Amino acid sequence: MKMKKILALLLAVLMVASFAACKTDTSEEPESSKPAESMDPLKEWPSIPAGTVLQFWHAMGGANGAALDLVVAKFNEENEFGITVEATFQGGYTDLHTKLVSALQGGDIPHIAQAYANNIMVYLDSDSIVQLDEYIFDPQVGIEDWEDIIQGYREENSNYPDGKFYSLPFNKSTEVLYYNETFFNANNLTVPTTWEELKDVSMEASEILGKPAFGYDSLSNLFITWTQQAGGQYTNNNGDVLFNSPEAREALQFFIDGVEGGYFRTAGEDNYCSGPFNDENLVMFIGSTSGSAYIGSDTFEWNAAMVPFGKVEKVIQQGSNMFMLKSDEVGQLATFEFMKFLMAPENTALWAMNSGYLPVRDSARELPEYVEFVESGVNPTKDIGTMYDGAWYIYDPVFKESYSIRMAVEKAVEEAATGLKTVDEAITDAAASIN
Amino acid sequence: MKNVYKIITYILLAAGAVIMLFPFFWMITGSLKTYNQITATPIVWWPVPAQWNNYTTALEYAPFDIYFINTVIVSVGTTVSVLITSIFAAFAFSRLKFRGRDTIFSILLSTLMIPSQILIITNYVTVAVRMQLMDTLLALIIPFTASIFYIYLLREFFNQIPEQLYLAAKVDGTSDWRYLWKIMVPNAKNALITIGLFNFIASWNAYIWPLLLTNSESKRVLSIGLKYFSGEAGTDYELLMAAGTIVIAPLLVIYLFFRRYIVEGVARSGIKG
Repeated sequence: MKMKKILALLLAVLMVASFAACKTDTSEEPESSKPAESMDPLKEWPSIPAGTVLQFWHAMGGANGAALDLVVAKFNEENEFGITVEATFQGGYTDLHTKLVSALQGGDIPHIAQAYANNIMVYLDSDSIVQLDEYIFDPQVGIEDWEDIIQGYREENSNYPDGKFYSLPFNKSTEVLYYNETFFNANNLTVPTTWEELKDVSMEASEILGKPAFGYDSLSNLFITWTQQAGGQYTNNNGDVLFNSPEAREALQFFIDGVEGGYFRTAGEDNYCSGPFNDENLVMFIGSTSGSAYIGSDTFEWNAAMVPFGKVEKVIQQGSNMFMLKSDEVGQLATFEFMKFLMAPENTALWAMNSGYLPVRDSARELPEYVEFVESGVNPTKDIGTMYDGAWYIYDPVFKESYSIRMAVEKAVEEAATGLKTVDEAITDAAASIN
Repeated sequence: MKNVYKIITYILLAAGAVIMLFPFFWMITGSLKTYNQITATPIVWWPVPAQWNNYTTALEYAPFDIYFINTVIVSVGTTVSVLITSIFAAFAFSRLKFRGRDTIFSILLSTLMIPSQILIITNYVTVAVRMQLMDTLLALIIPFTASIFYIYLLREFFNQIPEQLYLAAKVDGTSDWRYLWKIMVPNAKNALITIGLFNFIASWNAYIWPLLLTNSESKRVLSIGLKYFSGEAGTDYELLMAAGTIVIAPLLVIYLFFRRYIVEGVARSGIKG
């Protein structure tokens, strides 16, 4: 009896002490903007009480939304902390952006949300975004096998003015070359791997088809990727325009020669090349892996391959990232646990197998379930999309006008393709429109 | 000669009707196509076989039944309140004499020039932050309980009812209240139905405000449900068309039922007789 009393007393003292510890902890660190102290041997992290609820705002509708619900449900069931994540669909990316901007005016903000890097730049101004370095690289709560996350994604997510991480990769995709396998086999065509081959195969196929055989979905991606494949540069973080160069001219000229020669085309009024591809009005195109759900027809077999490269192997990475909004210490730690979960090999693989996106880790594609999924051949992009070297990935450096520049180069390609401007004029004008 | 004139008129009217009806035709046939048929060139005009399962698939994407009930509550709520506030305000601005009446009305009218996008964040702060109405249906109704545009429309209509009627009623000892409900409102029936319908349709279609103010499925409306079919890489057009058909069906029924009043209402309040 006495023993029990003493034990209870001890426990009570312990509880009070731990409460006090918590209190001093929070008062010491009102903002998490304090840099991680390398001198400190181990940071004292709070324990996450069971029943913690996190709000997650996303822009994943349809099949992608269902895939996300699946992964979130898995987290809610499996996580050892008893955290519950409530994922809410907030419309398209633009709608989600509007909603976040409004909520940052003092409304209820979520713990975690999804956005493109250029939008995250906007939120950074509000001082509501958590800098993630002190979580990622913490010996206790951090990500051990950090290098396993695809290099290009790690680079993009620290591509902020101070070089710190404010986001982590979430729904990532890349570009592949889609081709009509039936047509290629019937006409003994080989899948192009270089610009030269792309030109030759396109010319040959166009002759058989009687119309341009190759298309490129996103003209801004075309410009950004091909300029860098030609050995040139696009922009840098300071917002300097670097594409007013001979390499960019060479890249654009290569495409325009194809358009004028009748073997390359833009998506134009079809919006996406998948429409004409499904109708067999073109037999290959470069498009996002996330569009693979819209490809296919009863009349032919399709397949995908790595994009053809120029002098340099470069390929764009697309899709958006997830970022953490400031709450209390416990909320932020719980949010980080959820982020870690989403990026864990088996979960990013599960996500990739059910959504239109790719795993964010190198090791995910080695997992037996992923290998089996790829071998089942349901979607070749799930295989091809993971074959690129992490160092090949390029992304848009973010700064205030990064999106305007993207629009400007897209317009430049359009104007050159429609003959409104020469290649030289189009690039000079696009470069001048910003500075 | 008279017949030629008539034929031309009918041809023009028929052309107009075809243009107006084409989107509906496209939506309904689109809802019965496969994805490839929708994006196909040459155009597939009539899908065979019709893909009726698009409707069941589309309905599984989001809880459309809950969205439907919420949309009805919000649309009816805003419509009833807009009608009440418009009647009172229009009566005051057209019949009652008080100091600064026209100045106040001019100020109200000038607010029509402010684009609604600019007001979104201010409204958000008022309703979500100050009034703490985040994630409630009330938040979707409150900002739309009065409309300057409809007050203006109704005031114009009230102004057309001869002043003598008002004075005669006054001589007979009728109160303003009684006059409003016995004379003005019954006379303005068409205008009120028009306002009600316009408002109902606008509320039914509203998207960005309901999206901003709601988070949970149980508080969302139909227009948000339609967003589930679009992604960054493309849109499931066939499902979107199926869902679109379901969403606008009730509106079409209401519109067809009241169309006579709408035409009369617009014609009478727009043109001074």
